[in-house]
Amino acid sequence: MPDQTFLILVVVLMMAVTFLPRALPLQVNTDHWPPFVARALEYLPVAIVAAISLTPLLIKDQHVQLDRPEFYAAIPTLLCAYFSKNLFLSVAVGTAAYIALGSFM
Amino acid sequence: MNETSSSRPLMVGPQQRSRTFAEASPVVAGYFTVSFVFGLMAVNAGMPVWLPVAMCLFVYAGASQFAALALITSGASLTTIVLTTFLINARHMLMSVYMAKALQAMGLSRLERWCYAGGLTDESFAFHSVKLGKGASVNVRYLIGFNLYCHTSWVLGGLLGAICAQYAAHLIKYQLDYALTAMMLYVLVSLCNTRNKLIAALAAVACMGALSLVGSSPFNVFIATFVGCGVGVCLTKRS
Repeated sequence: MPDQTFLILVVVLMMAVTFLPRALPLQVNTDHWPPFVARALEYLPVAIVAAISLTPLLIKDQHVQLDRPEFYAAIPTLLCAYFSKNLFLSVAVGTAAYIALGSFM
Repeated sequence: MNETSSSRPLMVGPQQRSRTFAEASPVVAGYFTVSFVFGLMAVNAGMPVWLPVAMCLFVYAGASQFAALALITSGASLTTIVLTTFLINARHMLMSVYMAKALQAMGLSRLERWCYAGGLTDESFAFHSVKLGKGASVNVRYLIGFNLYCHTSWVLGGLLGAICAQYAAHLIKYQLDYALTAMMLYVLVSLCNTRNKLIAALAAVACMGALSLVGSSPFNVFIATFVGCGVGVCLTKRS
């Protein structure tokens, strides 16, 4: 086991480098930002959520790998989300599909 | 100041609390499972029980915690661990910038900003940006409460996993963590409410995909987000 002081240092420093990127930009006064920044920010959530949620389903270890339950289960989840507009139903359908596919594949 | 900023709640007390919990519940369930596995893995890797709990409480970062665990067990240096964590989590800067603008109208106090930032994760960001984008009546209590439920379940999962480590090593049911993916997909569909946004999303995925094929780097998400936003701005100008 690594010694305690090392582990405490790891936790403290990790806290600093995870908390500051979250917290510092939020402290900025956005009143005087130019309008084009606001227009670009409008697209930030959709761009970042698409990038971090869809890409790992399509690509693993630098290769396109679609024959995985993660990818197949995403199809009913997306369809359910689009047509039902119901979060709980979509999560239930997605998780159930993933578990079912996982036991077959 | 605080009083005026949060004086428009539609519901107060237990009613709002249970609604907040209901909306956070997919994240709560997903976080619990993932951090349970984290606690389990940490203790089985020879770490003391307090370590996964402290990490869940103070670091509160999914992928970074797993990466750090792997690095600690492989005997990496402090610098490597901290730098890796920083790079993996740097994407939160983008989310924080967005929230700075989006929460401006709500007139959060300094303290409320620090508190909110402490609970900012991929999932809470995704969920809150949908709410804010719809113009739904959101107040500070809802946002911070939502984050607190998620954070609490993250810590409890880590604690329980660490305690059960010697009994439950064979019991790993990893599959509930797909709840998080499913939630992000639902959020993505909700966010794509205009044609321009759908195109911006596809551009971001295409860019992220191309970059991930070349190599996985924490900067990929920055580039992909900028490309997505750029495409969106161009489309707005044209129409």
